[in-house]
Amino acid sequence: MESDDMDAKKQKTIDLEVHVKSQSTAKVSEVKMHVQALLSRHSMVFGNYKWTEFDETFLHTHVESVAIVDREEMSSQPLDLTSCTINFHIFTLNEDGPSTFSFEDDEELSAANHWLLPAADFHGIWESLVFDSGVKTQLLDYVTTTIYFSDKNVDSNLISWNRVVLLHGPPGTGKTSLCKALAQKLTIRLSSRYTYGQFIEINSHSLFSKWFSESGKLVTKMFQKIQQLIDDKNALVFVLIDEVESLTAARNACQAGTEPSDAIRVVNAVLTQLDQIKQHSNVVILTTSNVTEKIDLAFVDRADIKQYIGPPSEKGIYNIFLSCLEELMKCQIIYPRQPLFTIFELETMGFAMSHVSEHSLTLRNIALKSKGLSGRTLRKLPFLAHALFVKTPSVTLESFLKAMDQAVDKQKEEKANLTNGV
Amino acid sequence: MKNPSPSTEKLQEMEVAIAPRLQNVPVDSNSHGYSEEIARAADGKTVVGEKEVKCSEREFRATHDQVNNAEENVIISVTSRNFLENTQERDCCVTAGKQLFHTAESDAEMARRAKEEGIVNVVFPGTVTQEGCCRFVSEILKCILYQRQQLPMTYDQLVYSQKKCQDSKVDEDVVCRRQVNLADANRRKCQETLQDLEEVLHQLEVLFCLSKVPQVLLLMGGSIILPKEIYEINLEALVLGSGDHCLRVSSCLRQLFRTLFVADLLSDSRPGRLMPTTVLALAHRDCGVGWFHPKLQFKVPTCVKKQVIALCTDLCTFGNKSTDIVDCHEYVWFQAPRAIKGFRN
Repeated sequence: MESDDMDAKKQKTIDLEVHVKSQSTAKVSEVKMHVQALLSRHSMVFGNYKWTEFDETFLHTHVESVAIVDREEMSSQPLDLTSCTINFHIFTLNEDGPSTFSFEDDEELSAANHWLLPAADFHGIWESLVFDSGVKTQLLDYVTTTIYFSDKNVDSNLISWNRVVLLHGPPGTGKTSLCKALAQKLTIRLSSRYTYGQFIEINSHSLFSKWFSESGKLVTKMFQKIQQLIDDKNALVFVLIDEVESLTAARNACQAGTEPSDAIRVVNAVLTQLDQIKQHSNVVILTTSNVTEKIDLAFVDRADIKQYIGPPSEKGIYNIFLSCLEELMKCQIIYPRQPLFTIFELETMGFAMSHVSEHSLTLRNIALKSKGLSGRTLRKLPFLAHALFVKTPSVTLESFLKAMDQAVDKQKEEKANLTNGV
Repeated sequence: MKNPSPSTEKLQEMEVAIAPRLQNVPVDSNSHGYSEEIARAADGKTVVGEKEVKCSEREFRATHDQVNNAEENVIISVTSRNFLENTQERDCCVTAGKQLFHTAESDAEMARRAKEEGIVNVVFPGTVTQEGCCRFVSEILKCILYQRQQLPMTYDQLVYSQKKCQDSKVDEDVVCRRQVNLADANRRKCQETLQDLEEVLHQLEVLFCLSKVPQVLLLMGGSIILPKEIYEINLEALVLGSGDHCLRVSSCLRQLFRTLFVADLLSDSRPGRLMPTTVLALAHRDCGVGWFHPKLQFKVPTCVKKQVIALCTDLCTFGNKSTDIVDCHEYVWFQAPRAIKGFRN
């Protein structure tokens, strides 16, 4: 059995995501057949590749895109698909927005937002997130292992693993987005095992009741609802507790006498309820926090993966800017279209100055300069550049880069002002 | 017309509400038939007694009002059209009548099943048309929305009052701004709800033209995975026919609603909260419907107890025509893209 697995590992496995149009009613087996035919026609690919236009009528009517995803960026060798085992992940997006679920007695307050995965709202987040040193793949592998262990019925008393992930780091680095993207990705990846995913975003503030001693009960009620979802073994359930310190910081404050004893009950209730639901194999609990030091130790201890998400490195920044500029060129706000190199290509060229790499190098300099800005600010920069310094409907790449440079200066200045003010 | 006295207004509304029913109901037997049914229903209830199968007040009033108003309206508006329909319909009523008599004995049993298992069986004594099926579904939908307090009035009343509002809007321009604003907001909500509902009804008709529809689901509240209430309309056991051999839609509707009221399926002591209602229909994979979104992965939620309204054809009389067995792989769920949001005055 083990040697089989080893053999499988030697042969390259490729993940292929097939995005089926939401209007399509075609059978999964039929889609798979046609995609296989497509692959046999194009068996050589370089790196990650995505088909979006199809000659064949079946694929044209039923399939949005076929993509080879999440391979190592570095591999520049052509890949022969016939020699690989291909994992097909065929999915359709759910286009309904989030639904709320609330407690029986007061309808006004929603206790949690609830998405059915794969959701259209979360589409593309995974690709848009740029982190260093394979944070994304690590997380993906971690959760996959978690579920693999559960499938194999590993005794959790001997090898202990919780289904809790804690992402922490400064604001605006994409922790919440990463949680959403991770859930989406896993649902797609494990679609052969779980027919759909559920994503529940708990509003932690709604768990505190105005009535003394009621808060703990609210938590229990909420988790009862979640339990109902978990009972469906075909569903993979993700529970996101955003800004978890708002819940767990309360216990320490309570010791200082600044918080009513009711707050401590909430934390205790949450902790015990989490212990309850994580016994089920189809649950993953995702938490995020800005201030790790303040989180209750009992909670930090429960998290298996405590991943620090820092501000992006210059490589990351370059990639973020690149994707922004590509988008603007696609929308023809920057016109005419000019090619930009990826950071990998620039590196192989040794950052040599030439007329083809000129713009790319300017962009790299902007990236170097904007180090220290958060991911959220970076994504905002092209917009600010256009609003403050461009002011014309269409612009050349050169002048847009100039505007971006100015925008970075302005952001840094603002940041400095803020810290001085404090 | 700017400010009609409340009583006349109400009367007009009721007329409209009743009018379409009147078309379906033979005049002479109408009033008697209904009161008899209610009396019988009441009997059934006393028999069950301890089990407390009680008709909710709202529902009872609804039926009762219809009876009373029907009587009034009969005098006011017996049109030649109604008369014509009556004579045509009488033959059909004979069979339907038999059926009614037959079911009367099992009323108590039916109410018990509705209460305990959440199932109401409506057995039609003959074949029905595909358009008929569509009518059943849309009437049940309207009825459920009203009974579960998502609409403040019955559908027909709403349509009428909406129309009246639009008519009177022309000479209303002079009225004080603030008042109009408040009324406007209300009217807009009403309009939106009605538009949504009409869209769904229309698209259901389209769907029924394109494909056989063995099941329709109404999910209320929550999400489609975890709704608060589920109503299933099961049409699987209906034998479809066409032309003259089929039962009249009107008589079927009468039997259907009589059964529903007697079984007391839709009333509930729970207070009705406003919640979105999502319509899902099972239809053939390749039927080519555009408005509904296919939900290939959808499974009927099992965590919430569902109420089933099962329509079927009496197989004793139509034993030779067995229903087509639906291939479950070829039929998939289709979801209406917009939920019907209820509203209140």
